[in-house]
Amino acid sequence: MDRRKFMKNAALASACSAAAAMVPGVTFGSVQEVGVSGSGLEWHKAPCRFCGVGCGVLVGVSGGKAVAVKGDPSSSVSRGLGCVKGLHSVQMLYAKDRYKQAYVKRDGKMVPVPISEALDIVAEKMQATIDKHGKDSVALYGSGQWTIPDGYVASKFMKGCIGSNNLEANARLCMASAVTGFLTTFGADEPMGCYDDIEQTETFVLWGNNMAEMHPVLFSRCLEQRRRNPGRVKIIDLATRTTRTSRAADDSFIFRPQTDLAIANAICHEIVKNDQVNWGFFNKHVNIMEGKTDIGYGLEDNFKFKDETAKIDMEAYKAFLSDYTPEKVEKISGVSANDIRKLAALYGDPNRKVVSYWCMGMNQHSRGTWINNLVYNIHLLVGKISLPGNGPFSLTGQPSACGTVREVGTLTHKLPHGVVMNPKHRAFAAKIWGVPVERIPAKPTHHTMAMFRALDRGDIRFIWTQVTNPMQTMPKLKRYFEGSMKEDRFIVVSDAFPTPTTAVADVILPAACWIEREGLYGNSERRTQQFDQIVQPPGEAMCDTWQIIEVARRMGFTKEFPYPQETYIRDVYEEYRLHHVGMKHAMAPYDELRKYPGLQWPFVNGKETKWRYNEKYDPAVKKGSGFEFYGKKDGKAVILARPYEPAAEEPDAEYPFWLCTGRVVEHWHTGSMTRRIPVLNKAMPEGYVEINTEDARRMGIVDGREVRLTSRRGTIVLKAKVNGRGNPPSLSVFVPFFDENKLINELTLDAYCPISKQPDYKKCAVKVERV
Amino acid sequence: MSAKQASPLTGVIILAGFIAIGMTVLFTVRGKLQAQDQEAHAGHHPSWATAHAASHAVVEIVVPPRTAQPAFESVPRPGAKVRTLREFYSRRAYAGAPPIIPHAVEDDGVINDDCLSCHQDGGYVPEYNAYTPVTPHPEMGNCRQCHVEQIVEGLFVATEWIQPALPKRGQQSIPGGPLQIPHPLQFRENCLACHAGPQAVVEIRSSHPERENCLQCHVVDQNVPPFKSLIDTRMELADVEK
Repeated sequence: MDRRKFMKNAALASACSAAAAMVPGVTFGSVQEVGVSGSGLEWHKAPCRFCGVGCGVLVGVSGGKAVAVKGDPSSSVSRGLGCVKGLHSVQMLYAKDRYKQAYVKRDGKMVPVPISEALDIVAEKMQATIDKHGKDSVALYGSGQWTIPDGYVASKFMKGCIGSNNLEANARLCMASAVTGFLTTFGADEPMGCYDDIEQTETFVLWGNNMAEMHPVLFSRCLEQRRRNPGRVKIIDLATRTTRTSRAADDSFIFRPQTDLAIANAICHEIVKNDQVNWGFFNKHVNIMEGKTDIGYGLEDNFKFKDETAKIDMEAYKAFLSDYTPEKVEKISGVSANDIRKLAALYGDPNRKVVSYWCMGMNQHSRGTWINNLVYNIHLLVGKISLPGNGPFSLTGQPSACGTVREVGTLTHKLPHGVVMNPKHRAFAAKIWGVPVERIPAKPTHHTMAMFRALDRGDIRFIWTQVTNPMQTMPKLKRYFEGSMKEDRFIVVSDAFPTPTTAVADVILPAACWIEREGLYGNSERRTQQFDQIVQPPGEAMCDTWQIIEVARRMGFTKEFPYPQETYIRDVYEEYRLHHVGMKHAMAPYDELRKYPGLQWPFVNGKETKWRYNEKYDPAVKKGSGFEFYGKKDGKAVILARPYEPAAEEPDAEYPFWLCTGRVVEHWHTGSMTRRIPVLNKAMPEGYVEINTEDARRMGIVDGREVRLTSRRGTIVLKAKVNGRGNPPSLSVFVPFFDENKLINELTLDAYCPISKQPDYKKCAVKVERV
Repeated sequence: MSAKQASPLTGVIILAGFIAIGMTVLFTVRGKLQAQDQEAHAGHHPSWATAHAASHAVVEIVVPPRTAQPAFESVPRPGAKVRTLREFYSRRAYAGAPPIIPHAVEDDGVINDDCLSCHQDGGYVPEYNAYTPVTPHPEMGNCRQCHVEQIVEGLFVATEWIQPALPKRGQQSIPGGPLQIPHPLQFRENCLACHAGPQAVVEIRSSHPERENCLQCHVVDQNVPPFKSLIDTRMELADVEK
């Protein structure tokens, strides 16, 4: 022991004995040095791996391993906060069953092969399929968890090199209705406001959004805002079941599934009737239109729908609203006319700031585009939009649903800037990509639901999925599972862990997960968040971007993918940024992004744009106009008269219960990551079904007892949760979808919104029996 | 879980009385400082920004008024279970991780009130013959956002996760100097919650909790994150809007 150490220990020992003297009866522990101190960890910034909130985390690294996480105090999103998933996220990297090498199916068995060999096979098979069945027989299916470079090279590879629009991402199942909602109302995607609204507003209206569990860090900010402004700030919960959010809210209104459409119209009815319309704003910045009605549910193969909208005047809109008096809507929705008036009064009060928040409740909806439109209608009528503390805000569920799928445009009809149908947009993309413009096909092919139906039918023969788990998440799962198992289908899966999707794979490519590679995400509030490679991936696990580049080069596209391995993430991002030049969508430069937890676009002259369409904050808005919704040619946003129409399948005598699916705070999506985190698995080990307390009593079902749920598509046995954290109203049940051993999507229906093509996971009919 | 008693103070009444007088003075001073601080921030400064401030060694402790006496005024009952560092760390995935909930709790959808009824002020619980740990951040309202019960033992798949080395105790920058704080202060800016009172972890109990202004002598031995904060820009915008 050196002298310094001796002195330290002596001093500590004396401190201990002094303390012992002060607190009699307590034995103090011996002085021992335990490992290295906290400062021995190196801390690196990253966006959290899980939901779309985009919390900033600091990852602690020791000995080359990620060993700790803390909330990043300098992140304007999370301000040092985290949730139980994010704060334990690094543990998933060390699950024992991580894929560390590639596997190829030989004689019905998965055998390990060097990754270079697996990439050869993928390229050869892809080429052979194109040669035999045409370029639209191959497909790439990605994810809102793809980093921006992953999605960008995927788009360039499929649309610019192979020349097929068979590119989709799982955000179709999660954000498509938000996108079409934004496009139809404002002509441009993504929210006008930002999270800073939380500390400015006085009212939070949560539309079908269990924020306490799904977006806990933002919900904590809402609670804090209320705590600091007692009596003034209100949290209003509009939901189809009672949740943790409902119990924390000032008011909770439980409505019959699908009737949010009617409630939103009733609120508008009251605002118009009470003359609370902000006429100054309305006359200058708003048009009214109507579209097609009775638009179907997309249940049949090759379903087609194209909306047609036409302008109507205020009188016609008033006539439309006359079907939605509070009394009429009480009958449809089950929410009392008084409560509807109360809600309308909050929105209508000119002296009250209001934000609306929603996520899957409104997006996974067979009228998802419509309900997004209808909530915008409310904000447009009262002019509470694009202002600090006032505005509608669509939350996302994946870390880069916005950044990658929506901004890069990894959807069949999209390009990084614009759509494939527009020749100018194609020419613009082709120029940056350095490919002949004829290569980019002008016609969209399959959206996600149609893509998996095409795989089942055999129109698609080869599909490569990355960072997603469709064999757990597709609605009416059995059809798509069986489709993928058919003869002469070739499935390539890039993932970090075994999942139900890797179980159907012909080739498994081991993926570098999150901070094992460099990348960028984009969160719900237009914030781009860069992260470095912080730890090494295990074995031969490879970054998804690099996997695509390797396969593209093997197929002869070396000129299009020239990026050196040392700098390819930065190079790819800087190339991508060229697609978004201009004040409406400029992205921050890579080197700036490295310095900050995240930066919001439009990033103009070194500044973020916090509130779009408002002259005061958005440099793209015409001077002197006050507001300009520049996504639309005439600068005006659109109020769309959208009616209430019933769900695709509603309870009946044979299947009397509504089934709603969703998440719990402990797990994220299909649980392939969170179930590998010990704390989370021990807290929430298996899927369950929430049953209404009265229903359970009537049927003799007690908490923990097994019950059978059956729909027209499948059946499942689950443990009942009675009086748990969520309590659905009578004749409805809720089941989380994280458990791969309890595949609730075998029961769900593949009905989708005809405009967004996003399926409705929140509504179908089941029967419930004691086992 | 509501059973809770103030612990007996017999035998140290004189000492406790002395501390109580000191406390009154200290609380008054702190209250004034807080009032000034809140004025300066015009009320729209979320309290977790204080975590940020604290991690840069600025003292700003904002804790709701206590309903009972501060826990450190009481001494543990003879024979009561003492919290050890081993137990403390056994409830955390790594040093600094949110602790799990080690006892049965209702999963009834209520997010905070039930937890705070015991964990805000602490106190002796006969059922466990132990003292309730006190949360260092009672202002955070959504407890189960970070803290979860463990209802099964098993894992979904085995893990090769290695728990990192624990913070080194007894660090001084010069011999005889005050001990350094080996952990960040984020959400742990109230030192006394863990380091004082009968519920404190025995190995890390302060010998002089009555001095209260801990950060006067003890500083965080911690890297400062090398990233710029945008919170200042946000505040400017907020001011413009007012």
